[in-house]
Formats: sequence, C-alpha cells, structure tokens
Amino acid sequence: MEGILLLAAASASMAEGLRLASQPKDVHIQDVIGPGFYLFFLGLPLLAVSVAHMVVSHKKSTTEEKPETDRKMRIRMLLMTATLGAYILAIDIVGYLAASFLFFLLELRIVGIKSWAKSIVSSIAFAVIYYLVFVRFCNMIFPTPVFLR
Amino acid sequence: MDLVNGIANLFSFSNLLYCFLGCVLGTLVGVLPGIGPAATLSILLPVTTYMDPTGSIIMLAGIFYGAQYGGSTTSILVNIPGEVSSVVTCFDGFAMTRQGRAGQALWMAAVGSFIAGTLGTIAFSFIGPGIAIHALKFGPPEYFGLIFFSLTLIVSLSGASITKGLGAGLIGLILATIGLDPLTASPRFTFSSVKLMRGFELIPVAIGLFGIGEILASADLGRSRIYEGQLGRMMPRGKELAKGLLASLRGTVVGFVGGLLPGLVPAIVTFFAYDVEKKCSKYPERFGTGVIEGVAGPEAANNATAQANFIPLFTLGIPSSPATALLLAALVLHGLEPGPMLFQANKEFVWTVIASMFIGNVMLLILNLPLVGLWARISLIPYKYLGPTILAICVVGAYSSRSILFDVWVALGFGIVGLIMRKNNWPMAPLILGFLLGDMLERAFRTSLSMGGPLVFLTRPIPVVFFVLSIVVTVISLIYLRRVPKQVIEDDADE
Repeated sequence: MEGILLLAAASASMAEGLRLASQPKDVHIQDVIGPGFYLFFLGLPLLAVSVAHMVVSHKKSTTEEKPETDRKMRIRMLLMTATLGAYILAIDIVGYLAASFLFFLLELRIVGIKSWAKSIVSSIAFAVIYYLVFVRFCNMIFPTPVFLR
Repeated sequence: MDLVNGIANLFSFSNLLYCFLGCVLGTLVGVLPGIGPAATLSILLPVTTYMDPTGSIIMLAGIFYGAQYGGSTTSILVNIPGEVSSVVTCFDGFAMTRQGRAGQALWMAAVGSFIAGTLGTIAFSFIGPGIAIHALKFGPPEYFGLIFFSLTLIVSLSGASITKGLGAGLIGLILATIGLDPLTASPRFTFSSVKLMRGFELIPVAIGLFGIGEILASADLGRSRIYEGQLGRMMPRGKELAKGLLASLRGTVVGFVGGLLPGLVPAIVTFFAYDVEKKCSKYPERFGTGVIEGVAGPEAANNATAQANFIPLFTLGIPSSPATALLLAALVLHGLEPGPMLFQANKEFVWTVIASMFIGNVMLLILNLPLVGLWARISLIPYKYLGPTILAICVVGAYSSRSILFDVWVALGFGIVGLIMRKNNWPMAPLILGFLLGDMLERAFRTSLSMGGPLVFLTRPIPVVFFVLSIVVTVISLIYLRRVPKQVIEDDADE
C-alpha cells in the first residue's frame, strides 16, 4: 500500500511535469530545464524508491507480524480529529470564543474528564484565556461570526 | 569588540527576559517526553511575529539549546529520555539513580552541558565570521552543492528504512513545488485554486506534522509513574569529578565537529561520543552500570552539537535538523536573510544572539541544578490535560501565518499525515527538510544550469567538494545506523 502511494506520487509528479513541459515556452527566459522537466526529474527517483520500497516491504511482510491495533485508542484519535475539524468550521460560524469553548468542552470529555462541572468550568477558563491572549493581547483577527455579518 | 557590543545589547530587560523565557521553555520541553523542540518551535513561531526579531530569535534559540539540558533529567531519574538525543544518558544515568547517585548524575549532566555550551559558543564566535567571509564567494552552483549536501541529512533521518526516508524527502521536495513556479510563475498542482497558487506555508505544515500529529498520536498516553527516589549528594568528588570533567571536554569536541556537518543528527553524535568514552576508559566493560563518563560525554556532545548547528545555519543558511529548519524559518519571517550577508548587514543582531548563548548557558545551569525536583514532577503531567491545550495553540499558530482558515485546514491535513506516518514508522523529518529546502534547491539548480549547463557543477571546486562530502557523510551515517538500536533511530527521525 505504501509503495503504491509512493508510486502514485511519482506518477503525479511526472504527469504534471510533462503537462508543463508541453506548454509553449517564453523564449526570453533563460531557463534550460523549465518548471516541467524539474518536476519530471523529481518523479524519476521517487519512482525508483517506490519500486524498491515495494520489494523491501514484500520481503518484510512475509517475515514480520504486524502489531495489533488498540480499538479504543483509534476511536479516541478519530474523535479528537473530528472535533478539531469541527472547531475550524465553528470558528467561521460562531466566532473564536464560542468555538473555543465548545472545542475544549468536547476534547476534555473525549480525553476522559468525566465530571461535567469540571469540563464546563475548565472549558470556559481555557476559552477566555486563549481569547484574551491571542485576540486581545496579540491582536489576532478571526472571522466574524455568521450571525454578526 | 563585536562580542562586547553584543553583550551590551543583550543587557536590556526585554532581551534578557526572552533569553530566560527561552531557557525555561526549552528545559520544560526537554523534560516532557514526546514534545520536542521542533514541535515547540513550530507552535511558537507565529507568536514571534509579534516580537522584535532579536528577541524572538534569542527566545527560540534558547528553546533549542535549552531542550538539550532538560532532556537528561527524566533520562536519569525515571529512565525515560526527554529528548531522543538523551537516550544514551539513560544507560548510565538511570543506573546511577538506582545506586542512589542521581544527584551526581544530574550535576554532571548539567555541568557537562554548561562546559560544552560555553566552549561551543566561544568556538562559534571565532569560526562563524570566518566561514561567512568565505561564503560570500558562493554562487548558485555552490549553493546547489551545499543544499544537496544538506539533503544527505535525509539518510540519517530515515530511521530504520532508507526507502521510507528517501520517499518522504522526495515527497517533501515535490510538495515545495505546489503553487507558482519561482522562475516562470507557471502554476503547478494548483487545480485552478487561487489558495493553492501561493503554495503551502511552512508554519502550518510544520505545526501539522510535529504538533497536531504528535498530540493525536499521543492522545491516550498518561504518564503517571511517580518519582520517589532520593537525589543523594549532588556534586561528585575526587577522581569521579576529574573523570567527568575530562569526559565533558572530549564530548564537547566530538559534538562540535559532528554539529558542523548537516548530515549527522544529534542522537548519532551522542552514540559516537559514548563510544569514544568507552574506548578512552580503562574499564569499558563497566559502561552501563553507572559510570559517570557515560553521562558526561554524551550530554556534553549533545549540547556542543546544538551550538555548532548554529554555524551552518547563520553563515550559510543551511539547517542541520528539523528544529534548526524552523529557526531558519524564523529568521526568514523576520526579514533576516541567513547566509554570509547576515554577519555583514545584521552584525548587531548576530553578536547579540551569540552573547545570549553565553548568558543562556549560565541561566540553564542555574535552572537545572537547584530546580531539578520540580522539573521531574512536571514531566508527569498527563496528556489528557496537555493535549487539548496544545491543539488549540496549534490552531492559533497555523491561522496566524496568513490569517486564513485554509492554513488551519492544511495544518489539520498534515496532522493526519503526521499521525499516519508515525503509526507506520515513516520518518517525518526528511519530509519537512525536503519541503524547506525544495524551493532553494530548485532555484539554485535551474539558475546554475542557465549559467553553464550541467558541467557547471563539475568545473567549480566548491560544488565538487560538497558532492564528495555528501558521499562521505552518507557512508558514515549508514555505518552508524547499523550500530544504533532501531527504535532510537526511528524516534530520532521525528525530532
């Protein structure tokens, strides 16, 4: 699988390189190799590496056992990742302060803080501190909430 | 005279405060396993855009070399290396702790680090400007040779699998081409997207790979082991002290020479230093049972390498590791062009930073000796409190790059990439190194070819020297990679 991904990246690089190389060149620019051939030449060693990796991986997969994955850990990671994605969306919709509060609330619950009171108080505290430090003190400008536009 | 002016500039309240802050953060980062200087620098990099350039580089540099001090604390006390470059310190450091001699191990690690840091900074003061003068003779072919030499670092950073390292490095080089071509402005991999025409910024990519990826991967790690040991007497005495100090001096030389070469990462240098100590000892079989030279030598080498890494960074603009790559990014962010002109056009800045390293090493000695118990306890904070806090900082950090949410999505995307890479033992350092050096490599390569075709690299002496050095360093790295434990190499590839 890894080798296939490397092969795909090499193919993409070479394809993009050929596409650019086939475009008409500006005769006033002294550029022997051009943007296309540089990309193509980067793709060639990657192609070689992907083939080598597939060979090496195939030999290892017949001799090594893969470790078992922890399902609970995987679910936790997926939830944290999803929460992070939701946080980025929420910044644009409800603004930085509200989005931060919701983010901390969800994350603290996901990582195992069982008490709702503790989670809510901590989330409010973190959100306010981050708002004061980054928005007020550092003058960072976040998108305006949708309902205020 | 320049150094005296540098010291005078350093003694302003803000610069001293930034130096102290960098040392404290660096020690903290070094003590906390799993959070390296690269992740911290990537998170703090955007914050420094609100600071003055000198202060921000002083602070970031302090984090970088401060982490080398802090890494030994948990290695010695609880056998958990705070930094990958402190793994070797576990061998004899923890053995000394079990013998009730933790205090002596910590004292020797801190003092050895101080000796190496100070001597390394002195050497930097003398060697740096000299290298800068010669670097003025560099043209595009010479820069190509130098960057190509730096890319040999990829072999050292590849971990146990060279194909994975090379693959990651090449993908990093390809990622650097996304956007408008630097010479002809042709769009590459933009898919008609205006946002992609500017390419990916380094900060979101670095924050994603090292910050978000690390936290997601460490989500369920709660280190709750409590340190209950006694520190014992702090300072070694008599022959023990003499052996430790001599080992520190040897480690300084080994580390400094290793740090000058972009192809050798600190972990490999520390193993080499340990090897040197064994060879110099009358009783090499005792190493691993609590020999003070086994702590002093590698710790000194570790710190000397950190100081020496600044030489290629400041004089030639070439990073030696992911952390120095981020320092390079910081210099560029603040409009400071690293390379030979830095010593000419920004002399005051350079000597102030060098002066800060002298003072920083003194601060670190003070921080690491009396406060060692406190650092030991901080290292036990569970990830369930640290994780969300750091993730939120990552979001802010990625956003601050260009104040667009697209960069935060890029950081999240690379965070997922970093998580997948970690789970499948792919080294991330080659990817970030390829990404950082890709643009410079392409410009130097294409400009050189337009100067005189492919033979331009073979008819000028400096590129030839760099190509030869690339081969030599690659061979040395491959030889030592066989001798270093596999897990250490894989962990180091991410630092």
